[in-house]
Amino acid sequence: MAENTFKKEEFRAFLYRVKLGRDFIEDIWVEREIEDSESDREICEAKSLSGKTVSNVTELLKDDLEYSFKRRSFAFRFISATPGSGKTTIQSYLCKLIDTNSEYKKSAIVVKFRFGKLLAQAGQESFGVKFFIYALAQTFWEIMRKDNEVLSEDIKLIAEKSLKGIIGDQEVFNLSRKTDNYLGYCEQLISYLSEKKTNFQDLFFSNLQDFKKSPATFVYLMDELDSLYSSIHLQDCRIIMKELINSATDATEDKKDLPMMVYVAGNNTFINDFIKPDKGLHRRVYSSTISLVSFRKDECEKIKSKIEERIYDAYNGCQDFSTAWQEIKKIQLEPNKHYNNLGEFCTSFAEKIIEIHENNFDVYDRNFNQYENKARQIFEDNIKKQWYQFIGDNFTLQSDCQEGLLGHHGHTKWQKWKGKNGYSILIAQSNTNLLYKNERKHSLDCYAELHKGDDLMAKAYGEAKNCALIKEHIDTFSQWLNDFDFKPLRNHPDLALIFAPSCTELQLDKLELKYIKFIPIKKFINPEVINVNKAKIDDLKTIFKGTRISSINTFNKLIKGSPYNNVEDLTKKMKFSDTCKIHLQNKFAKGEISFDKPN
Amino acid sequence: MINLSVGKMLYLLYAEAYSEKVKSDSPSEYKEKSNEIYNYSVTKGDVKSHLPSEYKEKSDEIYSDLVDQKIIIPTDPKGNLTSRVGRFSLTKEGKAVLVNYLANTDYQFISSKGFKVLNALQRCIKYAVLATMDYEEFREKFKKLYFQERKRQSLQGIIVMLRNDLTQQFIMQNNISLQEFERHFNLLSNTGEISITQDRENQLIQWVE
Repeated sequence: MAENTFKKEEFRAFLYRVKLGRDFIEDIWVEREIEDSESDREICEAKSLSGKTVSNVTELLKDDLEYSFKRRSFAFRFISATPGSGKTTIQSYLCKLIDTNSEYKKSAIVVKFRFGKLLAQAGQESFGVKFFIYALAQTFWEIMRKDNEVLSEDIKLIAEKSLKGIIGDQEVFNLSRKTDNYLGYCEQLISYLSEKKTNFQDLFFSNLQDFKKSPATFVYLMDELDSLYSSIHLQDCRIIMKELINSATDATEDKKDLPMMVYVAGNNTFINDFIKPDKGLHRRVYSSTISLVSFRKDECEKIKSKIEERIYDAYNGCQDFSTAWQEIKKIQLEPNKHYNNLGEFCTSFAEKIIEIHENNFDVYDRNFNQYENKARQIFEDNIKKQWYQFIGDNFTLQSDCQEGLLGHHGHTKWQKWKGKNGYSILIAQSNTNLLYKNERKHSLDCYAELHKGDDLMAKAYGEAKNCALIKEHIDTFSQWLNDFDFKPLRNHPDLALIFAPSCTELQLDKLELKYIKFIPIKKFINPEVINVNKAKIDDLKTIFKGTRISSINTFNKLIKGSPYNNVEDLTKKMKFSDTCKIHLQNKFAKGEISFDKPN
Repeated sequence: MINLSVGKMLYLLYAEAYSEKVKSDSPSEYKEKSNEIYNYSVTKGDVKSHLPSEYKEKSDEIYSDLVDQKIIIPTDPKGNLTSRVGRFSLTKEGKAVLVNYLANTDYQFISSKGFKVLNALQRCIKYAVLATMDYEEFREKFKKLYFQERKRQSLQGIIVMLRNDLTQQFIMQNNISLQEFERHFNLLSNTGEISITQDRENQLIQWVE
């Protein structure tokens, strides 16, 4: 049935992301334990910069952020691990932590790039010059780009002034017309910068100094240092790293650190070869490295259960669920055979799940309908509360399906609630196919309108998801809201609600930024499966309800004859009719009965 | 495994053969009383005099190589560690290396040797036969070595657990042949106790937890 098509599509996209096994996947992010060095366990190792004891990645990164953003200090870190161990994920996770902090995000200038990019930089200049020109260009782009709306205006003004000092007023004006075009902006800026005869390292740092009185904090996330493996720039790069550290710390005029974070990630063997030969560099960085293990079994288990749980919740009302679930439970992945790191684990596990997902779950989903109904009730209560200031709390149900509303948005199931001052609420009683941009439709689980007299004042949208939220749920819903021209901030605010059993803290922050309210609703679980081979008389009564089999004698005989292998075996031994056999087969297919052997 | 030249092997064999009991009390064979006291020792000159002529002139070079690798160690006539050069003892690793080398060499002697050399060979055979390592012991020892090494590296900031380095260290420290090592090591990896990642040039090991 078409009912599941959309749900499956969102899930498909989710599983595909997992399969790629790259970068930060928030939906399946698991906390990683961290210990100070000298651990006797195979575990990620790092020390906090502040000196505070930290026991996991989140605590470590939050401490780093506080160190730079609040204490205005310089944070430098090498992240080293074998490929697939989560180095890039750490960098992206740091970005998320910035994005979801209302203070940090206003003052953060985050520049993220891979070292490989520097090898493609045009020009005859030395590696050091290219590096600092590139970093400068990226920094200004981050500050000036048009869609960077969260960054504070003060910082943008400082940047503009500083940039004028570097390349001139007219040039800055020229650039200001390209703030919606990444390549155009950077090309132009790099070409202005390249004309200068100066020391670009000094220029880079004197520019950063200009921001020192503002809350601006610069975050440089550089990935894949190992791209320089066979390059002639290795030694240059060592010097740059050392200079970065020197210039950001003691070399500054007022003897205060630059509020800046530099995270450099790379393969452990490469980073080892990179740092070790340079005693000076090694001395500066050895205590601030983050060493990641490629995986721990409990981390893999947690990822696995995060995926399984969503499948279970989303599909356990489907007819073919029990067979599919058995297949999922049969998946066995072994370290060093199927995977050697978290990335590979995600890939291997997702591949198997995708196969099962593609072959199942196309049929009608009983539980989801129950879930949707529950969501609609809560939606109704909730919007009445949120629009309370207009409609008051004294409602009368005016009509269940007012004549004039017949066919409103293409369907007929409406309730109209009348409040005070001529306000009323129209609430859809089933899915609403809502038109947007006058041509296409999205099918919303919940929908309501606030009216004053005949005027439409505001709208409320709701989506119900019966498993822990995934990124696709949020992305789709916010895209829809966009399509519907969602206006959450006007006098009569539009409302958006999303219902699910749970969501992550980061998702919650993300939803809040989009003015979507998250409302947890417990998931619906199938009634317990009855094992025929252990069934008592009452259980058998439940199983055979709706058939002619009801005599206690028959049930006793059935119990005596157990165990049975399957429906066939049972109906044959008990000489039941074909109708009864079909009845049992249906029950088995829905996962209501099983034939587990008693131990 | 360590690629000892034939010279090194002969040097060790003659050192073993012509070592004499130190002037102290402990009678126990092949077992140092503690890390600082060795029961048998030999002089450099004594060993050199027994080496085939082609190795005689390289004798000092071989000596310092072996000292660097901690296969032999300078001792005084009482078996205590010393900084003076002249007399030395085979370390525990040294004996394992010698036995391991003898087990893997195709070298053939071309002149008759005295009873001391024959006795040394006999002791090596006994040592080799009595000291095979079962998997459980291997696993314990390898795991211990692994985490020692990991801890040492983590103090330096970056952890790189190279298969070759660990193999070499393990063979150095234990009386085990490369074949036996590989057999046990493969079992470790096949049972998922360790995970192995191929880097550009090296294999990296991680203990699975």
